[in-house]
Amino acid sequence: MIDLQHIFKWVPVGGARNFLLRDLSLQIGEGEFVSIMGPSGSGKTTLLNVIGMLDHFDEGEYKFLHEEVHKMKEKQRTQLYKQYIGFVFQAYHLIDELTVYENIETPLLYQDVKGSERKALVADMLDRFNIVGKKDLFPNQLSGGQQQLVGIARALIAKPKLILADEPTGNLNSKQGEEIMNIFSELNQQGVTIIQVTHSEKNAGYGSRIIELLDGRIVN
Amino acid sequence: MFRNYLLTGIRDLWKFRFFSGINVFGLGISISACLLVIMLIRDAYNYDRFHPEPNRIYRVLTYAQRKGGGTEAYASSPYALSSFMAAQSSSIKEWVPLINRFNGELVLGESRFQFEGLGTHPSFFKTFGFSLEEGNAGDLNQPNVIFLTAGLARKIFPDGNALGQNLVWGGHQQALRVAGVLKEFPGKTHLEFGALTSVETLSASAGADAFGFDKNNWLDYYAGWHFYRLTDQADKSKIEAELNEVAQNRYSGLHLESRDAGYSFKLQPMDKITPGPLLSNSIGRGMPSVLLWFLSILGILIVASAGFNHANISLARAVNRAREIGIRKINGAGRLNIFSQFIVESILVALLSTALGILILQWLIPLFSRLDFLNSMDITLRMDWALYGWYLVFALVVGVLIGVLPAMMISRVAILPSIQKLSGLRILPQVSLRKAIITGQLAMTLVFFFLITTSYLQIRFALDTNFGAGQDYMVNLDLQGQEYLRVKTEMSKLPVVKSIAASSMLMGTYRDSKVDVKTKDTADALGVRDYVVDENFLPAFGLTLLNGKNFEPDPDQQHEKQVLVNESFLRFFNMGDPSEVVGKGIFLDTSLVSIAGVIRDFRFKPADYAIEPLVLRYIPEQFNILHLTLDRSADLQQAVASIRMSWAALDPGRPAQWSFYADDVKATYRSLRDILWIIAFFAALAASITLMGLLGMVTYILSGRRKEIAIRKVVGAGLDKLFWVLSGSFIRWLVLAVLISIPLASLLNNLWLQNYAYRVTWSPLWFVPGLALLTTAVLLIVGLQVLRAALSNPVSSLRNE
Ligand SMILES: Nc1ncnc2c1ncn2[C@@H]1O[C@H](COP(=O)(O)OP(=O)(O)O)[C@@H](O)[C@H]1O
Ligand SMILES: [Mg+2]
Repeated sequence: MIDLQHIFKWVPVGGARNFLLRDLSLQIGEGEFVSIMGPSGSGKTTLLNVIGMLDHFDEGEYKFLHEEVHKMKEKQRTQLYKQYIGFVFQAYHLIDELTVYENIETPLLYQDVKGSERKALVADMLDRFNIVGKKDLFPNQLSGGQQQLVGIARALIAKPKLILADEPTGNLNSKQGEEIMNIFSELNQQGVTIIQVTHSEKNAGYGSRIIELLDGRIVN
Repeated sequence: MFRNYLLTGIRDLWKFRFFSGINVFGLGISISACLLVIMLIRDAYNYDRFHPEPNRIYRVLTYAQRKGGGTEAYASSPYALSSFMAAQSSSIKEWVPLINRFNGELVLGESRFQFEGLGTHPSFFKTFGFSLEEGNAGDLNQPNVIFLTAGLARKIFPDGNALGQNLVWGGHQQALRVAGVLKEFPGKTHLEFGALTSVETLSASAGADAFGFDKNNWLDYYAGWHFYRLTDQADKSKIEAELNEVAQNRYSGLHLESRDAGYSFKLQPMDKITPGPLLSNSIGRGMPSVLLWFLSILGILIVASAGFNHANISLARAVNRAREIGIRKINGAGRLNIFSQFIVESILVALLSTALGILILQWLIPLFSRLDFLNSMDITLRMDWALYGWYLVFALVVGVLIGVLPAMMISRVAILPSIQKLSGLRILPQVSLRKAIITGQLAMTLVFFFLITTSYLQIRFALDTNFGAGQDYMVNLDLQGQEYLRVKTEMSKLPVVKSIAASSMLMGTYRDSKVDVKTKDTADALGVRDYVVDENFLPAFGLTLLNGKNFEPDPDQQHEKQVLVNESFLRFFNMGDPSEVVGKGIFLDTSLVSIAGVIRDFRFKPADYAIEPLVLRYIPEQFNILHLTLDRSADLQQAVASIRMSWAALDPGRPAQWSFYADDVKATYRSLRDILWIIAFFAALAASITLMGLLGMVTYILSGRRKEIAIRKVVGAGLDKLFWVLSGSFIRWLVLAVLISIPLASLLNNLWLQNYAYRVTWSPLWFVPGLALLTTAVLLIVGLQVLRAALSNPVSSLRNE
């Protein structure tokens, strides 16, 4: 599903190049549960953003579902975000002006899902994450853990085939983290591909494969 | 989806209510002006829509070619030509003449009623959508009949029995039988009349001259308006060609009016009359389309300015909203989704603003209703349901237009930088665009200020340099047909009246007349402005006699013997030095008179006229107005009261008609004053919108520098530097705006000042008031906002970061 070949990414610093990713090759198949690990500043987020096509790369080749990413149009990418990929961020990234309910509902709106069906789907999610009571609150009225649950609920509501999660449990206590990891492995068992960035060996253990990054290079 | 957009929009507007407030308020006031213009336009398109076949009715226009070159278009045309053509052409189904020689007074017993009427044919009721309450349209063929409008009939016969009654047409001592009463008009019409009579009434009795109307005079293109109702197959341009062919044959042999070189004719569709082109000798009322265009352009400029503010604020704020956009894109939103979201928001803003605009409109309507020109054009400012529909459409259009630019820019934002809050996030080359916008707004405001200053100065100049002295203490008294000597004797008994002069018509106003003058050396008679005055006129108005003598009083004179002329007259007729012409004879029309004296040139017409040749004549039976010079120390109120009392003794039936001369001259510049008022109104809008835009920007810039300000305060540094840096950049734009506005304003200014033969001389000082005002406002806004930032608590700003 994901095929990275000799990917380089750099930012110019003065006259020189500061490499964020160097000669990185990686294949991830459908149904895998991959954990990306490595010290802070090693390029984990950068890699995840490249995989998620949020960020560009400077050299190499990247095929997503056998399509060359650098030839993709914005429309195609939008289509993938709509139906295929769900993002979970360390900083949650909820829309401040929308309630919990409305935040979770948002992806469905862009897929033209009918009102009644939307209602049912959102209700399901609220139920599943035990946040029914919070549905009319705004993000700033929630704790970090609750916000992340909402973020995950929103990422899952469109039933993506791939979940990209950047330190999803970074701001949560261990109990909340465990809860989220359980959800991930449950999803993975249903066939959803999961790529997560994590610092925790324990969380990485939920996955089937660990990729160790150092200075923009894969070390294992 | 829409609900989601709307919710985000509303919550965001509320969250940033200061900026939203600036936005909605600026748009609201500018939209209110546009709503007013829409109201005027709709009113204008309400005219003459009730006729059975408005698209088959045409009016004959006369294009008079002048000897000096140029053409003047008249709404009126010769009766003889129109009737000849109507008889000849089979494409003309009906022909309606409307003769403008039927007005004055209607007398019933002791009561008199002023009226304005038209002479016409029975075809009037077939062609136009007017109908009769009582009577028979066919009677418009009979002589000495009158048809009253419902309003006039009610006034004259309050008990309702009008039909068959007799009225006397005062002045002409003509008995008229009431042969019909019209129903209330079914709608607005440019045709203005209180009564109708037959063309026979005007032409049959007493000889043509009595009414100033002659059916057979091909040269008289002033007396009437003529309408054709064409058959369905008729070809308008063919009829026009025929009309001009007839004219060609007919006019080639005739001795035309002295200033005319020839005539051509056109047909004007009924539904293009109001709103329509400006024509000389127009019948009745209605808004000319140039005025509608002028107002529309002003309105659009103002809304555009407010729209730019909206775009500016939206773009500035977009940096804050970029995260939301990024998140939405990650969740599957395409560019179009984001674009629509922002359009929905700008429509929301436009709707709120329009609602505010409608509120402001309720306050504008009475303000504008007072303008004389609206009254004289019979314009009604009134809300109705259809208007609300138009306003809704307008709001939607405005919403889309003001939203397009920011929506386009914002929808293009890349995902990653927007959610990472990177400082490098660029939405657009904002700075240069914003500079251009604010400079444009400042320039527009300056142009408006400049135009106000000049039109104000021009009005004052025109009033100051107008004819005659002592107008302040001069009362004009209309003789209303009373004998001149009798009234004069009675009035001179009043101690407050110092002297009394008489004339035929008010000098210094637009009223005038011409007499054909021929000298020994001129082959053709040439038209010259003439006024009838008495021997007291020159001293009363401080006019200088250069040579010869003033008029000798001779109230019983049988024939006109002497005239006074001005210097321009001598130049115009090449008559040489003032000293040589006294005693020479000239022909006025056909009678020979001698030049008694020469007076120094003075401005006897409003400032838009250059000084022209002038003949002052002495004809006692044509004195219509007494000019009473009052004692300067007198109480004006009491003086007027005593004049009215004396008048009441002379003519118990009618109240005195009097006015201060100064007011009469001022009234001459009424239209200029109205325009000044309108420009001032738009200038106030332009200025407030510009300043609000500035306010928004300053606030935004300062909010971005809160941390810097806090640190400065914590370390004890003053904020005066910040003030000067900020004001400095605004002042730079202001300077740029001045450079743009000076040529633009001068151009616009010349455009309208051109109409005035006498205009204020250009001065760079004209820019000073507007510039001073704007500079002060800019410094004040920046200063106050910096002060506000300075007073805020530094610690809380630091902690928030
Ligand atoms: N756009 C960028 N410009 C410059 N440096 C960047 C940019 N993005 C990331 N970096 C740097 O690249 C390195 C890797 O960043 P990141 O992928 O966020 O690491 P990680 O997620 O592993 O902590 C960091 O040192 C970061 O400062
Ligand atoms: Mg990271």
